[in-house]
Amino acid sequence: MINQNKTKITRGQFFCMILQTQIGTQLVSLPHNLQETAKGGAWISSLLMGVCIQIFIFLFGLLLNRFSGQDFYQICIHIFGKWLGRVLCGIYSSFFLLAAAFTLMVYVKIAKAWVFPKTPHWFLLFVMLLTSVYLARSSLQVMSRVMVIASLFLPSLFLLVAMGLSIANFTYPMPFLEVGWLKIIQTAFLALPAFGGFEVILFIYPYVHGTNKQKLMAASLANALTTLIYTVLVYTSLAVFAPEEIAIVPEPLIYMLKAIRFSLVERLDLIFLNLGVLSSTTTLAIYLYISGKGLKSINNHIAIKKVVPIIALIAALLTYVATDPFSVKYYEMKFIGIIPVFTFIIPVICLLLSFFRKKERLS
Amino acid sequence: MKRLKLFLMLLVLIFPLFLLGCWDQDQLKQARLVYTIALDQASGGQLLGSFVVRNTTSHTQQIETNNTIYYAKGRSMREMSQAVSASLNGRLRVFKFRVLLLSEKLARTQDLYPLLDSFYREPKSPLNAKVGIVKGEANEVVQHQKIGTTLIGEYLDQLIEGEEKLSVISPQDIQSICPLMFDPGEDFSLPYFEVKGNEVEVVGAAMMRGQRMVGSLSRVESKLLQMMRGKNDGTALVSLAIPMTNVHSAVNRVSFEIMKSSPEIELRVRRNHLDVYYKLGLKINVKEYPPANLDSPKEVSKLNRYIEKILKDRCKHLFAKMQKHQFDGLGIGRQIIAYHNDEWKHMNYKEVYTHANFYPTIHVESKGNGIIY
Repeated sequence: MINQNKTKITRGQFFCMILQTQIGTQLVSLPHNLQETAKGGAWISSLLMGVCIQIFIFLFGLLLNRFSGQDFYQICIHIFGKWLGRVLCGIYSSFFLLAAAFTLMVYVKIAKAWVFPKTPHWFLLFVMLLTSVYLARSSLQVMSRVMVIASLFLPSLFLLVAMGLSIANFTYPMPFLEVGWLKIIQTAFLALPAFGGFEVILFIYPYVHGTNKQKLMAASLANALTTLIYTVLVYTSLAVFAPEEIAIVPEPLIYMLKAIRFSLVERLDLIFLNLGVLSSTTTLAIYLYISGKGLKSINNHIAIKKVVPIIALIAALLTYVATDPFSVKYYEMKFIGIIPVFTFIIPVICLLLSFFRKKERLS
Repeated sequence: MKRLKLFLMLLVLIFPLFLLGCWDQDQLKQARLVYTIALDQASGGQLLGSFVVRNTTSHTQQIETNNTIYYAKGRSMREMSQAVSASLNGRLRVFKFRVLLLSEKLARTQDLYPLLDSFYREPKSPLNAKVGIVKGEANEVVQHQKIGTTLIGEYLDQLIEGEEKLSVISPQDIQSICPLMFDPGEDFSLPYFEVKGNEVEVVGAAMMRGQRMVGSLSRVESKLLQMMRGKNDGTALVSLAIPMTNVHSAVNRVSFEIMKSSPEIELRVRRNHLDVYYKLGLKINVKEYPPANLDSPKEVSKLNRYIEKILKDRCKHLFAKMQKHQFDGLGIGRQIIAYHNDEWKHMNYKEVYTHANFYPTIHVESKGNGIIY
């Protein structure tokens, strides 16, 4: 029992972990991606996505409570049996590998465009992975403590961008409903990569102290805060850039900061990027860890510590598929297509099957 | 285990040597900083760029700075800067770039965005540099290497900043004009320079419709436009003639500072018809008033009404002038896009704007009189 307590994390750490996984590099291009189709309603799209995810967090809670003490990998094996369950674990593990690769891809793209145009691709990857692999090789507790520290920087990140309001013109996003509700709802799904990360709830939930209600509350609060931050940031960039202008600025959040000038500090964008690197390091570490955990659940002899560097290497190699912004954008679109399968559809299928199986057992 | 730790320690010590600076370093000592660029039209559709590059020669005791002007012809900014690089000992860098000047002829015939594209695209370029229009040839301005003892780049920057503080021209830089260039619902104005003998003067503002210059405003008009936009920050000084009173003197003006101007625009939009109800509340601080009789409330309100009447006429005139040039300096189109979007989609805005009716009401309140009445 004591031993088990030691491997658990607190609810506050859980909260920070979800927050840090959700907030990552995709944030900076969110306003651009949403505005393309939703125009002035982009901030509504972001809000809707947050609400939608909230619903799924409750569904996750339902599923996880039925199998208390088990994470999603174990649940998969429980529901689908030894073989099919393990295959599913493998698929999920690869999904997180892809998510890690994707995070890296976007990070390198932004770092190259904004700060290090001449630094080689491999070096940017190396620096990034060095920290996150080190983190992912440590325990869940260590990781969660780092997340707490990283979360302390979030207010400054938020304030930095909210400063854009000083140069905003609030009529730019208006009229909000120019493209109609249908398009705004459709656009909401483009926000998925930026919101992505809430699915880690499925894998960390059983290792958190507290009652089910408390844990769900922590997860919901984290998601609510992410939604709030995103919505404010999207709205701010909509108000800073003219609608026709935002269409040509792929990373409005950084661009906006470059435009603000203070008497003491110039190039706020560099400060923002530093904070952004921290956010993506934590996101990356979590993805690597969960991917490794998936392999461990296939075969208990596999040590997470040993597979994480290998997973990181594969993710790094995968980023070579897209080294220029245009192909990154192309793969981004492809990746958005598969995210809902893993974050929405499969967990819900598991939930439905779990009802079904219980009945079967009773009969 | 100990050996591994030692190895890791060494790695940590060696690691900083490979930090990112190696690839992306850009040393200041190799950079040749361009402070100002003046653009003119050359023959055959080419541009003539005058690049003002700063030289710093340090003798043992003092550091001496002076400008060198490099001329280059080309069809774009990048083409010209390449041509300049060919005769430059070092790398041409824009870190300290302050002012971009365009000749009026160029601004009237050439879109602005293509000239600025390279600035927006490059992460290291300063987006807070100013843009100005020059009556006549732009390179005439930079040929004055120094004005007084100040080098031309700094001089222009300070000149513009000073005029912005006095609300004579609207504060704009490369970044802030970007949304306005793209936005069909609002136009902007840029400082308008003229070379007068040995001096460079801001003679008013150049009206930019979309990306091209369409006309110019005098200093008084430009200041009025700033007031109508509600963009005075307490330093705009307005002087008006007052009717002859018992003071028999040639000095017959009331001067006041605008403490706060709060405009309200109400629109009546019908298919091809636009009524603009413009309300302006002004709080003023009297700075000069020879009759010196503001001790009675009656006189104060008389003065207020008088100022209202004059300003109303001026606003009407200015609006008519802006309409003539289809220059939407008040951002009325912006309001239509935001609040009357259906009508916006079905109207030819510039046409409607030209024929819009303008009904101004101005309310002046004196809030200060200095230390005498």
